[in-house]
Amino acid sequence: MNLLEEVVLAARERGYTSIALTDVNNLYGCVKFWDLAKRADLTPILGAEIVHPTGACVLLVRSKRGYSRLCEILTAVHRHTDYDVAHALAEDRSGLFVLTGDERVLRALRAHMDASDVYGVVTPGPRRRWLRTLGSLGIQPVATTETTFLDPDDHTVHRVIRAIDLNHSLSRLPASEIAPSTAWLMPPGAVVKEFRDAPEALANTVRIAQKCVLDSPPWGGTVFPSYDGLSEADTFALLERRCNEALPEKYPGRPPEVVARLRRELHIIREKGFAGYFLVVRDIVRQASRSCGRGSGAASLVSYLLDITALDPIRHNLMFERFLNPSRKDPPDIDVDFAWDERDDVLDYVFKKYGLGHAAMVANHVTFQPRMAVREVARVYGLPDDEIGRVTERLGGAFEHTSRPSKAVRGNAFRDLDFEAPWPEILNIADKLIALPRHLSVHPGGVILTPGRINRHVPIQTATKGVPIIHWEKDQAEDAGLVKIDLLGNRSLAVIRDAIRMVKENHGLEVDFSLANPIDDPGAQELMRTGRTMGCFYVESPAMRLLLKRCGKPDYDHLVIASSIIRPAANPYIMEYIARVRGERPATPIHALLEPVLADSYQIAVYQEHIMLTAMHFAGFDIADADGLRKALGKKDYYARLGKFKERFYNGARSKGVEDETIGRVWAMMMSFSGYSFCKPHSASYAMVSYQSAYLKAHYPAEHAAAVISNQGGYYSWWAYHNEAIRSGLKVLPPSINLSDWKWTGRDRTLRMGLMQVKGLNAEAAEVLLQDRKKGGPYGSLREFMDRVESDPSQTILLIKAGAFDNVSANLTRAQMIWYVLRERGVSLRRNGSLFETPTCLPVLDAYDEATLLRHEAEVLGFLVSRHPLSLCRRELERIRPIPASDLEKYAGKDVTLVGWWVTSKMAETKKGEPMEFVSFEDTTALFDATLFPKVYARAVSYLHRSVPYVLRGRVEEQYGACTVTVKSIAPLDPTRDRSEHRRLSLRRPPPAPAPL
Amino acid sequence: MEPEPRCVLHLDVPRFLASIERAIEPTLKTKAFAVVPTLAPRAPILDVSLEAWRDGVRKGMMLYEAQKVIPRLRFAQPHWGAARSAADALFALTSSFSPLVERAGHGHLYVDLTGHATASDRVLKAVREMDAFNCVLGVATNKLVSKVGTRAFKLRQPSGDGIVQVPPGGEQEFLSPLPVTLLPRLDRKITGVFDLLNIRLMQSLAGLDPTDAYAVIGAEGPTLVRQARGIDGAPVLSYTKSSDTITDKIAFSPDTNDWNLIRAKLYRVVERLVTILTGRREAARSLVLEVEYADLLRVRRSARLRPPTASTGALFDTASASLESAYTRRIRLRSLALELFGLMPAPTQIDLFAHVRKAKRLRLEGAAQAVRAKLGFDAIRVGASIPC
Repeated sequence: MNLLEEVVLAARERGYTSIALTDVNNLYGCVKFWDLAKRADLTPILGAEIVHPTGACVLLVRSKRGYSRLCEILTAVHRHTDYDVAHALAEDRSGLFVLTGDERVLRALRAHMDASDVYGVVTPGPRRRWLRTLGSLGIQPVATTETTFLDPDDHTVHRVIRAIDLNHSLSRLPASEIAPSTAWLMPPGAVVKEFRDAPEALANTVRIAQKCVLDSPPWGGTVFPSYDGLSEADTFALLERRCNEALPEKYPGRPPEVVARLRRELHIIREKGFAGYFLVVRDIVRQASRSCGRGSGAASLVSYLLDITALDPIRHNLMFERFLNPSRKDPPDIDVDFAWDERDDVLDYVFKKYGLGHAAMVANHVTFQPRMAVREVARVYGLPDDEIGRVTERLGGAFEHTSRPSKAVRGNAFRDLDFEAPWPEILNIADKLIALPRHLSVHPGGVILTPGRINRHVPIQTATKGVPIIHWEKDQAEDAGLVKIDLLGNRSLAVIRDAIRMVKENHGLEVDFSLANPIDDPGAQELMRTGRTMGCFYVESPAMRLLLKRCGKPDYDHLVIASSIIRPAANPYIMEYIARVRGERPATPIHALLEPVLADSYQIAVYQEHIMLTAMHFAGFDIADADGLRKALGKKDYYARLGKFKERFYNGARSKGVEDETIGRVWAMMMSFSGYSFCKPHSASYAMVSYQSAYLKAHYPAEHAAAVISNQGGYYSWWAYHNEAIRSGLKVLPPSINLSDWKWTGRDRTLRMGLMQVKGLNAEAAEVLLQDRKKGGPYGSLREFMDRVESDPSQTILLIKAGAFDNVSANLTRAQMIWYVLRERGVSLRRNGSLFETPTCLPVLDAYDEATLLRHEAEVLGFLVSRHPLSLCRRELERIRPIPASDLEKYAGKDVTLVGWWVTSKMAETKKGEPMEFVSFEDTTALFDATLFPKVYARAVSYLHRSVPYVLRGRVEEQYGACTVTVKSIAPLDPTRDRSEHRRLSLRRPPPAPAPL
Repeated sequence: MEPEPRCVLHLDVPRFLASIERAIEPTLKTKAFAVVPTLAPRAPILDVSLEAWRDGVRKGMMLYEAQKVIPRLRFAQPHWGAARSAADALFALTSSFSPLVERAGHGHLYVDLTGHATASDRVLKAVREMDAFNCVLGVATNKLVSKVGTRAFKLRQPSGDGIVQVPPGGEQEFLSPLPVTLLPRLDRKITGVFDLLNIRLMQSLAGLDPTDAYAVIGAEGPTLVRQARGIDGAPVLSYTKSSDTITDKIAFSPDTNDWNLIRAKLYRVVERLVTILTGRREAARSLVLEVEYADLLRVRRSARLRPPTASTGALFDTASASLESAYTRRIRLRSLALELFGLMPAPTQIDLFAHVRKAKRLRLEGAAQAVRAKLGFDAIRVGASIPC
């Protein structure tokens, strides 16, 4: 249950009939609040508490006009530093009630005009003097308890939240920043008792509540963006013309089924008033070098004709109704991916063209998750970050099974930690913070465009990164009728762009995927068939690589299926699918009614469209209900939402003569879509990008690998890609002051590390260096570099430690180079004699020993790159004698010992709900996948995921040509025990790559 | 006639507090144990026995962390009175050999034996006869080399009992093969520079040009080069001269970020120092306040006291402002130290224009001091020293 739901239900239980939500300076939750209050049979009153240096008051909405005015005021409070609240209210407060305890506001409003809509707030506590003041001003009092939390016990949590917000410890929290302990939601009886000496104030409270009743929510119906200010008819005419213009080129001969489909789509678009939306998206897409229209919008022929998507919906049999159908009430959105580093330019264009007052991004409401809650509370309690980190670093996995930190820490993952005071208190408070709002962030790509001023629909504020954002997250925006355009950043599009650019520079070849279709390329298909797809967009996860290998069908259509069937709840169907693809089991439908529906996927439901079509063909749903069922399955609380659908589904199927047992099997298959699932157009769009990636990897591996690492994108850390490149025969060269660019570069079979890899190196400083090198040519020595480039010594030292000067000053040790840099900083050297011509000026500073070199490498580059860390454990490996991972297939069915470095892992649950984990490891020969079933996992969880090598013992399981290891025991291999090598080398795993956008 | 070379003895009692506890509680003999101010899980370890040290327990760890390392680790709470008595006994013992004896922290003394170089063996024998401590003596021509000598001895032999003698003129030869980390008072910044420059041994450091060392290492550079060459002119300061500063420190056990508690403890520290000042009829000209956070970061703030004062109120106001400036993070504090220096005879002139409230406060402080002088320090508590 979320906080608003709790508040509404508590109000209902305590006997209230109306309730006002007046958050401080925001309407973050008002759409949800309206819905919840209505569902609880309470009258919702909308409003906000304005807290500003120029005045404080509560504004309550009593009409739609008042709502718009409130949105304008809140926007101004957030965005204009010189805003004067009292003055603004004096000018225009139509449709609002003003409740205030601020004498400045009262006097200002009274001086301007009639103040019958202005009330003086009376709160529990001493108030006689204040009542006298109100009397003297002729202002009516109104009673309010300033409720801030639900129950008296919540005051502690409130204090902690305020301390988190203000970055204070509890003992240094100013009293003015904390609500009084009486600010809980008292029952009406207690409130009446509290104000028995002010009956007039209470009567006014009731009177105001009655006047704030609205028949319908003030945000109204769907708000579409307008295109170039055209009327609706003109917009549609323009859309139709553009589609017809594109038709001959994309469909020579204008096939009748295409024309019919276009007519049908255009009809629905006109009916829905959606023409402007398409034209706006087309306009935006044209601004980027490369984009990928995805999601259900890729099923639209109109999108294809407008070049919003690159996927032919007729050829791939994509269902338009999944995107838009006559009975769909909520506005669908079109999702478009752009190269991640171009997206901000696209957004700039949108704000420039459509006007700051008409465009804003959707917000994300960041709520306290277990890890964040524990970290923040522990900081309030003054614990140091490393102590907090020891707990929070283990919470990620553990919390998939419980959302209560105090419960989670009793699990196996924490058994080697002690939770002494004050930890129990911290964990208990953290429990109470889970799901409470923490702060606003920016949605990854959602943009709202409105024909009128956007701040009349919703308040706007400026996000930390400088863009305007609305107060709502995507669900509330959608519920309020605001149509969102998703402009998302995608790192893989940048990978493809960069790889193509390098291919052109290295080979003079222009790779054009509109001419060379990658899906028919044998090299790309071979990668797909063998699962060697690390670095290939969307098909590189361990599960996906295993699936591809097991299926052995690399063609595009099978890839589209594979991209969709990998879902959390679909495991049983995945194995069945593999057996059917390999022809080992027949593709028999569960019931004959499903045969035409699931014909394109071996009679297994794979796409969201299958849910809708199954519901329609098998249980007689209409398209609106089928779509409703599809949407319900995607919600977190799907189980609660499915009750009515299940009953209808069973009844509908029964009426078609289907037996309950069969219906149950079909229903179970539909349930495998719970959590998340994909529509076919989405998977088809992404499969095309996957193939483009695979094509580049197959033919230009160095360029592709360089682009993957440079764009920091993908499922794995850069280090895993680096090792994969080495295993596939590529050579990796260290950074060089004369040869490295900012990004990694690839040519032939060689990768050159980019300067970006040097941790701590400033991008601007590197740009100055690169520009100078371009202008003045390569550097002949460290001294020349220092003469030509005005660089901070600390930056130069980083480059020296990374080995970037090794080739230009080979006669000096790195320690001597650093001496020189520090000396230059410390004194002004006389320039009449070159230090390097008289090496006696330099002290004798020995070259670093190998352990130091490796330590510096790990520090500066983020990990060891000159050698695999497992090679540091030579003696231990000789003792253990593990098999190489590349030989796994030879040991199918046998017990083996392996040594592996942790690469990535994914937690899962057994049917009994016990936690287990799939982990990918690598040794110097190959990547391999291991399964830790619950018993082994319980033993290992407290030390798994560390940046150390592990010794694994287990059985090699071979299934459909792919081998995995079922682990029987696992323990860290301690490299410091290996006295033959560098005993004190401390290795830290680089942080995981950012999640793909 | 050439003057006789200096002879400075550094006396180091390894694991001083642990040795005291072991002497008091014989059952701790051969046992792994740690000295902690309280038995709270987050109490900091003040000292460890050799057995505990060998198994990985270190000073500064928290009690519960040490228990992770040695689950059956025993704990002892320090007997500060016994520690003071033992330190005084060591001081008295060494004073019988030389008038120049300098206290340099728990279990550390410098003794100037110039002219009595042969006395060092007798010092060792006398300390051994106390039958309470192991003791390492470093004997050299200066404080630095004798101190490095004891450190080098303990590096080779952690149980520490013996003597290191560096003959006059043999300083550099003695130091050359030793690691630079044995030099006293190296901070992280300097060790970081040494690491970058691959300076690991004293001989590398000694070979640097002091002017270049200034440019490369910083202001400490030339001093460090001189030290690596065995040069140190610092005198052994007798007790009276070295008491130009007085210090008090409080270790929070457990660590805390309770502002009220911290301020109250600071008040208590100020009161203790004022008691000493008053007893000596002195006033302080400056103060340095140092806080140590739970993540071991230390922050120091200094302030001038104008006019020099021995007033609790005036000192607390200044120290409190320094605390505000030093304690800016939310992280808990492990300890707080206050040092008063620039001590001088207390001014006797009465401030004619003292504000009435100030005068009232001074009267209150005077009364409290009078009670303490008669009945002991803990006989009276001022409200400000009790956390609300």
